[in-house]
Amino acid sequence: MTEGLHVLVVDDEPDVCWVLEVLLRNNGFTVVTMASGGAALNWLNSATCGLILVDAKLGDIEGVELARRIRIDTACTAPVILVSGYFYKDDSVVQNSLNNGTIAAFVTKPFRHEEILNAINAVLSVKH
Amino acid sequence: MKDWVAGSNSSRPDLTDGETSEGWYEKLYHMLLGNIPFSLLLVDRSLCIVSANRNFLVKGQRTEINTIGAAVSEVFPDVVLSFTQLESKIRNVFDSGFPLPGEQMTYRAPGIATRVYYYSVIPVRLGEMVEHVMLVMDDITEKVQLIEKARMVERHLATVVESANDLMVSTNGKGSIVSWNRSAERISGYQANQVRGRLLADLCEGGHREDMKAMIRRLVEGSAVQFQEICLVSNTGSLIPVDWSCSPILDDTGKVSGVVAVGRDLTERRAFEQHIFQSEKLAALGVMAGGIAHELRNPLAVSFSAAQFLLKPSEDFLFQRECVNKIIDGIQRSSLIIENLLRFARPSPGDRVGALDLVVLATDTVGVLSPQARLQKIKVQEKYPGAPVMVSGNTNLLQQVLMNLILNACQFMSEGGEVIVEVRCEAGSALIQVSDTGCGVSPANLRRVFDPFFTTRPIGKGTGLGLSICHTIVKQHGGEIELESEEGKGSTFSVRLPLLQV
Repeated sequence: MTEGLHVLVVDDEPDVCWVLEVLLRNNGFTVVTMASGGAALNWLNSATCGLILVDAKLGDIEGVELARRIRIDTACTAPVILVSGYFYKDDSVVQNSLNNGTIAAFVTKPFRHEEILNAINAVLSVKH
Repeated sequence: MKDWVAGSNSSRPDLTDGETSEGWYEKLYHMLLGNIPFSLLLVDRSLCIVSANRNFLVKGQRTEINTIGAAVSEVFPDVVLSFTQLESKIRNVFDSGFPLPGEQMTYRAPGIATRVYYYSVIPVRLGEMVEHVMLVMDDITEKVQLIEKARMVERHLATVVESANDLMVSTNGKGSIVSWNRSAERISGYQANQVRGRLLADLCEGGHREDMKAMIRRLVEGSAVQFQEICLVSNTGSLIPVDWSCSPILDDTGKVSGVVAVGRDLTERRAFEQHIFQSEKLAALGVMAGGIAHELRNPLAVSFSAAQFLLKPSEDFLFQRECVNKIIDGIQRSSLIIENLLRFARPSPGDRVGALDLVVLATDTVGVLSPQARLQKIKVQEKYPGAPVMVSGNTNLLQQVLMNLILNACQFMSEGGEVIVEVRCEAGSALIQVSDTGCGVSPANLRRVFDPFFTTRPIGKGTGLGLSICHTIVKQHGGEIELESEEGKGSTFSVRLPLLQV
C-alpha cells in the first residue's frame, strides 16, 4: 500500500530530516526533505507526493500555516502530519487544526518509531 | 552734662518766669528718670527708699506714698527678698563701694503678672562716701520668653533630627562632621563623639570619597547638587548603600557656613530590588521556556531515534557509527542548552562587582535568547568589535538588562523581524544598543517606558517591570539608558556605562 509512496519531510533541523528520511526509507517510502516552508511550497508546485511531515516551528513559517498554504497555493491534496517538539497534543492550535482538517495527525518529538509509523498508516488508510 | 543739654534747646522743658536754672536741671533729671525704660530706686544707708521712678511704681503697682521713705523689706515681696538676698547685697555695695554686677530677679507679687528683671546695684558717691546706692532694674521678661521660645524650637528641631529614620549629618564648610543624629549612629555603628570633627568623606567607601568631597565643595561654592548614592563604611567595615541629599547651611550674610546631608539607608530597598530582579528574571525564563523546550527536543528526538535504529540488528557498521555520533552530538547539544540556561537562571550575589567584557556578556545572553527569537521568526544580528569592551559591574544584573531589552524587542514584533544587538565604545563610554524593527513607541509613551508597571500589553502579558528594572540596574552601575523610537518603524535602546580603563 505504501510501497514507493513519496513523502515530503519539511524540517529546518538537518538531523531531524536525517532521522525521518532513514526511518521512512527503511519502511519502503521514497523521501524528499526540505529545510523551509518556502522551499516546500516551491517544490510542490512542480512535483507531487502522497504524504507530508511538517515541523511546527520552521524558520520562515509556522507548520500549521504551511499546511494551510499547501491547500491554497498548490494542487497538492496529500495529508499533512505535524511533527513537533513545541506543541502538546491538547494545545488548542493542534486540536483546532485536527478538527478542521488542516492536519491529519499530530506526533510529538521525541517519538518512538512505531508511533510515527502508526500515525502514517492510520492517515493513509483513511485516505485510501 | 551742661554741654549735652546746650545742643538741644528745642527740647528744654518750659520754664515758668522766675524759675532758676538749677530748678530747670532738677526738672530735666526727674523727667529723664521718669521716662527711662528701667525701674530705678535710690536707697540710703538705712535701706530706705529715697526715690523711685515712675517705671518702678507702675510695674510694681505702687504709689509714691507707700514707697518713698519705706524700707526695702516693705517694698519688695518676702519671696523676692529671700530668694535674691537683696538687702545683704545692697549692704555689701555700701560696705565695699563696688557695684554689684547684673543678676536676674523673678518678681512675683500678689495681683501682678510675674516679671523677670536683670538688676544691678550701683554705689552713688558724694565725695568719698557712698551715701546712696541705685538699684537699676531692666525688665527682661519678653527677652526671657523669646529665649525660652527659641530653646523650645531648638529642642523641637533636635527631636525631629534625633528621631528621624534617615541619617542627618551636618558638616562645616570643610566637610568635617559637626552633628550626627541617632539614625546615623544606629546605621553606621559610630557614636556621634567618635565621628565629630572627622571628614564625612573619610567615612565613605574608598572609591567614592572624592565624590562626597566634590559634592560638599560644590555646595560651598554655591552650586546645586543632585541626589547621589554613596556607600558609608560601618564600624564593622561593611558597606551601607546611602542615597544622599545635601543642602547648604547659610549664615546671616547668606554665606555657606556648612552642609547638611540627609541620607537614606538603601539596604532594605536593595534587598527588595534583588528579590524583584530575581523574580522578574525567572518570569522571563518562563517566557523563554517554550523556545528552550523546542530547542531541547530536537537533539533529544535525534538521539532517541538514532538509539532506536541501533536496536535493530544491522550489518551496516558505517550507519551504526553514524547513529552513535548522532546520539553523542544530540546529548552534547542538549547539555549545552541546559548549561546555558542554568548559568543564566542562577542568582549571583547582587553586590558582586567586577571587571567584565560586554562582548562576552552579550554573546552569552543572545545565546540563551536566540531559541525564543527563532520561534518568533526574529533574526538576532550581533555586531561586536574585535576587542573586549570592559566595564565594572555585576554580570548577573547587566545580563538581565540585555535580556529584558531583547525580550522587550521580541514582544513588539509579533510578525517577526530583526533585532540588532550591538556593543561598542563611543565617546569614552561603553555602549550597548538593542534595536528592533517593531511597532515603535508613541511619543506620549516615550517618557513612561521606564516607569514601574507601565505596559501597553494586556494584563497577564508582562508585568511592566522589565524596563524599569533595566533603568534601576543601569543607574546603579553609574550609567544611562535611553530610548529612541519612531512609531511604526522600530525602537533603539541605548545603554551607556562608564568604560573601565585597563
